[in-house]
Amino acid sequence: MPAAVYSAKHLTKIYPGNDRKANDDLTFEIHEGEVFGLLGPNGAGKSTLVSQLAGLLKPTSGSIRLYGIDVVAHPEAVADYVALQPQGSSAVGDLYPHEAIYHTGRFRGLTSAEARRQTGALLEELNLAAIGRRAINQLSGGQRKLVTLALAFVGDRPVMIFDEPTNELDPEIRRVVWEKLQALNRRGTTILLVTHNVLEAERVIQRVGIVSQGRLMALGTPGELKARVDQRVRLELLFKTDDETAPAMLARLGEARPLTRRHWTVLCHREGARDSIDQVLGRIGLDRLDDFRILTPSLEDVYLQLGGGAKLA
Amino acid sequence: MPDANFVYDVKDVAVQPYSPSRRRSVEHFWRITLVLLADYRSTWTIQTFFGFVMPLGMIYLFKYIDSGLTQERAVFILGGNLVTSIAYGPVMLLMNRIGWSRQIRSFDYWANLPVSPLTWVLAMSAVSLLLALPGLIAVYVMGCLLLGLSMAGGLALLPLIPLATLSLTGVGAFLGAYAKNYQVANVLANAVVGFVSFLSPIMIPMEHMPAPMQWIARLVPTTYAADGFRSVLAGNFGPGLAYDILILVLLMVVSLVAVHQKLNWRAA
Repeated sequence: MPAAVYSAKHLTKIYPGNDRKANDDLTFEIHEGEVFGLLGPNGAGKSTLVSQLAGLLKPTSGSIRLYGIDVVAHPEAVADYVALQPQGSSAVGDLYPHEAIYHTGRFRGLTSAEARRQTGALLEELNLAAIGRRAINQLSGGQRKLVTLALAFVGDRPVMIFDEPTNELDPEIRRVVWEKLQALNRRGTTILLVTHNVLEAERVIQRVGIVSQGRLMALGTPGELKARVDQRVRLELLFKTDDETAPAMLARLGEARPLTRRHWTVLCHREGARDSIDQVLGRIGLDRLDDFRILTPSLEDVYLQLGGGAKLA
Repeated sequence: MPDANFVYDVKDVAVQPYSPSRRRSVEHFWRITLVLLADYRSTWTIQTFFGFVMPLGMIYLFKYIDSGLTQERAVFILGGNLVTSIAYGPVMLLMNRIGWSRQIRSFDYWANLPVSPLTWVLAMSAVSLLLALPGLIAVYVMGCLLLGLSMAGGLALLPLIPLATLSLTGVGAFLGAYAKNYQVANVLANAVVGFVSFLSPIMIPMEHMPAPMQWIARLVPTTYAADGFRSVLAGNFGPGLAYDILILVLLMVVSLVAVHQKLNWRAA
């Protein structure tokens, strides 16, 4: 098993003046070179946990070790190893993107030439090169998000923490960001990823922790966690027009539920899945459908069943 | 506070620090100054104007009230208003900046970089001084012209200005460290300005102040900064000026050490 980069034990956080535990007795490790996904609904305690791991927030009790260093006693040591994607860009809001990325790289110990090289490369990769001399706080939300990503990327820290890295981004640039994260991971960077975008994140996450109401509800590889949830195959059908015969027909295939009047989902057992698919193709036919999908349990199902279901619904 | 270089001495650390960049305090000071200066690209004229207009107004007011102005009185007024210019400009700016940074959590960015809060405060003080300089020069030049003072010894003020600014901003940063948000910082900044304007011997000579206030005034840097400015303006470069400088250096060191201990940009 790879060495632990982060090791958190019995981590509990209660904010001053608040009885509720934002984090409640969390114990887990993040291993070297892995992409660790932290999933959970709003208010689950993910940001509190990340702030403590990044040394920005002192735990009420429990311990955090980063490469063996006691983060609670020496929070300033975290900056030598970890790059945290800033939540906002206010600290450097009046800088131009290239200035903010360059200076951040220099603070992290890059030489002037290397900081300039990485700045140029990141601006190109993240489609920010054309912005030129426009202050960061004058950019669109998506562009500001890309700048915060570049601020985390620059300087090649061995550990990187991202909080909702693809929110506010268009599909094309989202793909670029996911590819960048995968490329960093292939080079050995340990990545902690906090996200709601479970479907996209599933492609890169190697181990996952699901947090709900401050507690760690599940921890393991996506495969291990998927094995713990409903194993039925899900058929999703999007009819071209309203079809009054659909409910009765779909109910015969399995547990059918309408998502909208024309959009249906059917849960059927794995053994009977082939028959169900044949019936959809034979009795309904692809001509009557705009879309037809066959889905096995996903990380999103795990997330919905173990963590986020109640609050996301 | 732990030693900044502690990481290198810890025996049980599995991996050595990726970059020993914490050691480059001078470079960090310069770089933070550049980053913070950029924040005032669009507002530096307003900031400068703010540090200039109030003291100049006070000079006008005193000149109007005190028609038979002696040179000694003119030196007192101008010396006091130079300090007011620093208090209204750099100190308010620093305190508000700390409060605002807390409110919008922009310290999170700095806390995730290997730079120390003290270096940030020193850089912010330098930025404040740079923004205050045009106003200070304007107050000095206009004050000398209005009050009929010679500008012959003006260059001697230059070494005193950063010293006065650093000792004052040290106090400002220390108080700002108690500000949880912009509103609290604003209240504290206004309290400092009220104190500087009316409760220390900036506008009112020490001997005319109530005894308790005289004792308090002896503990704050504005008193010695104003005395120093007045000595230079009057051409008195004797032991009195040396004493003011010594006390300012001491107060600067004490306040910056206090800032180093108190200003923690990590949340509780």
